[in-house]
Amino acid sequence: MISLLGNFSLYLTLFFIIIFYLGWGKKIFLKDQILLNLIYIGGIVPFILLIIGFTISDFSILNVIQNSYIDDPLFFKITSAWGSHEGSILLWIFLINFFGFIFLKSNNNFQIHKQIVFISSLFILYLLLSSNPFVHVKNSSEIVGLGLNPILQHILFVIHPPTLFLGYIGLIIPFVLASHILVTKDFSQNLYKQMLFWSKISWFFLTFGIVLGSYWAYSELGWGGWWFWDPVENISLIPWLLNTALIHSLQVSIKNDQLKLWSLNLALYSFIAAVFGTFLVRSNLIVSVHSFATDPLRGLFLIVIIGYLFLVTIKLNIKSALHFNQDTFSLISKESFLLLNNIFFIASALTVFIGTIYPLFSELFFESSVSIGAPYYNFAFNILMAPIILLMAFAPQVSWNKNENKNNKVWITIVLAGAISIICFFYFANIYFAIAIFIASPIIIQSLIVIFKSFNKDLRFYSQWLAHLSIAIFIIAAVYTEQFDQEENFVFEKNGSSQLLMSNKSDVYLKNIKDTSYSNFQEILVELSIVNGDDEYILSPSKNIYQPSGQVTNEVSTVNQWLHQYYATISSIESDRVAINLVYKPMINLLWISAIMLVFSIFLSIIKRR
Amino acid sequence: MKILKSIYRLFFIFCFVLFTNISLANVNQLSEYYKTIRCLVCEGQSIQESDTEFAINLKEQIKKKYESGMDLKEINQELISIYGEEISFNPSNDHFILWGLPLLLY
Repeated sequence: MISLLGNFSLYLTLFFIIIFYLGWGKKIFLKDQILLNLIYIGGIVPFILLIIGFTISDFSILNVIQNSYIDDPLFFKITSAWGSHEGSILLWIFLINFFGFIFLKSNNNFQIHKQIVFISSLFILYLLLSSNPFVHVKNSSEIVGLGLNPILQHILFVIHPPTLFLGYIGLIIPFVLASHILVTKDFSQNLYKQMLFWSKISWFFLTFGIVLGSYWAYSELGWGGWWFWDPVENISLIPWLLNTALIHSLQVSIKNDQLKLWSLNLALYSFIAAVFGTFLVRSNLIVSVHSFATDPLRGLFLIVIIGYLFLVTIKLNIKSALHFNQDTFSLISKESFLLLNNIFFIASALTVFIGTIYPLFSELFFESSVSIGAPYYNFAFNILMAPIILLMAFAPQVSWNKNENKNNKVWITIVLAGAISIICFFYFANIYFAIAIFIASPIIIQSLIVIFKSFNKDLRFYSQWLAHLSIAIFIIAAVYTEQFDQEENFVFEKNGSSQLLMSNKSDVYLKNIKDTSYSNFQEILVELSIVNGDDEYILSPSKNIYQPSGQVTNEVSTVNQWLHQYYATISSIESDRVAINLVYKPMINLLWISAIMLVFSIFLSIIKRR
Repeated sequence: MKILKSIYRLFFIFCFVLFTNISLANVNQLSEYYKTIRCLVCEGQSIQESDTEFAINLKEQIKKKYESGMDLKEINQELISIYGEEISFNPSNDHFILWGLPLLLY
């Protein structure tokens, strides 16, 4: 029943889209406005139907059988809806239409909506032809389902993919606005302001989604770190970098009528980057920790969609290139700093992009397969980012369009930062941390000066400083964690309270091993106790064995010591001995706090606009 | 603008030269070195993170060789000759396109 309704709704939406395109709305007595609403609602409904299907465990749908288990908790039954490839593409369609529906309230220009609807129809076609979640199964009375992948049974999975998708698809509005501006050559400020608003919305969700994903990898998957330069992480970073550049260049476009074509191109390419990322992941062209069940047809289809988006971009660029004068501005002005920011952001986005697709490229042309991992990115990306961070401290105070510098404390700040970093170098004996301090501390110093000096400025001003400040804190925390973490491997004999010593002078005891059964998994839990001086910390990592697949997952256990954290996983458990991997991660909590600050800062600037 | 650009390019080249010379030299600990070796049977993890049989065996082998006095650079070369370039997350300098493109972007 649900599969029938879902298919019907999808085909009906396609039908309405065709009518809308042919302009036949009047012939069947529907106003364009109503027709658009119908199309958007038609695109929203199927996903809700799929969720209902999962909630009531309707095993007449193939997708429900494959991704849900009758004894899974209700909560995870619902989230299974976006646990599969089909479901997540349906979520994608749902979000496109959802954004379109909301956007219709503030802007009902049909030319713009035509674009959204067309892109949505491409994805609906893609869904129907290659990955339909509403495939019907007969004789389904005895089926109990295969179960959701245990790794996905986590609270963060509930919010991480939808948030990230909100971010990706939020980019569609800047995309259609940019292409509309290029088609009509109406370079009014109003449209640019709308673009800024929507790209900020997208930026909010994108940042939040990336942070959630990172935290998930850290706390659930037991990979031991928070960023791996995995292809899937990279492709979420590329739109983020481009979108960040877009937000900055839009400021110039709105305030100063410059960099207009530049901003439009950024808007176009960031959405393409988001779709391209999805394509790379779903077509299984590159090896990643995130694996999806895949087949070549899916990849082919997404290539078609990207090809279309790309052609639109190129065509519009060629057509409108003549309408722009060369942008001119003086060397030390806000515009030139923002342009520099843009250049660096685009370059780093391209670097990440090259690194991600290079293995493919190398296999094709040199017939040698390479792996590109952290060493490459850590080098290239960090080098590219360092100048941006330094700029961030001073650029916000430089005035618009003037060849003068309001703030004459630049040299004092740099000298002060240098002094602090030299002290840090001798105190911590670590060159990387000292460099990080040197790069990040100007922002902190400047923010302190600014916040004390001008207390009564508006909210947007603070949101900007807060964003830059949180990046500075993030860098310090990240480098500190990476440089000063301590990893130890322990082997305990079972049934004996062994005691072992960590390198930071704390004792580790094995307390207890528990074995408990839950509705859909069995848990083997190891209780550890770390004694450091007078403080005692309890850690309880576990291994869970899930039904019905028999898959085993490693559950991480963490315990906070102020901003630091102990991080424990079971590396192996045999009949008479337990091997534990224990990592001491200093300052890791500061990293998460700064990430939340960053998300909050953009939230501040959004509410200011409304 | 042009002066800034050329200064930055020089800076980049400087960093690159520095990096290629110290990339393995600054890896002192074995655990740091493990992070640059790919676990071939897992999808995109290093042997440091993985606890598959492949990773554990490889770690033991590397440790033995290291303790018998072999240089990390030599170990790296040997691993590449056995498993192919795929094994290392740190692509070699032959891939000039990879290293050169970030520079060209300016």
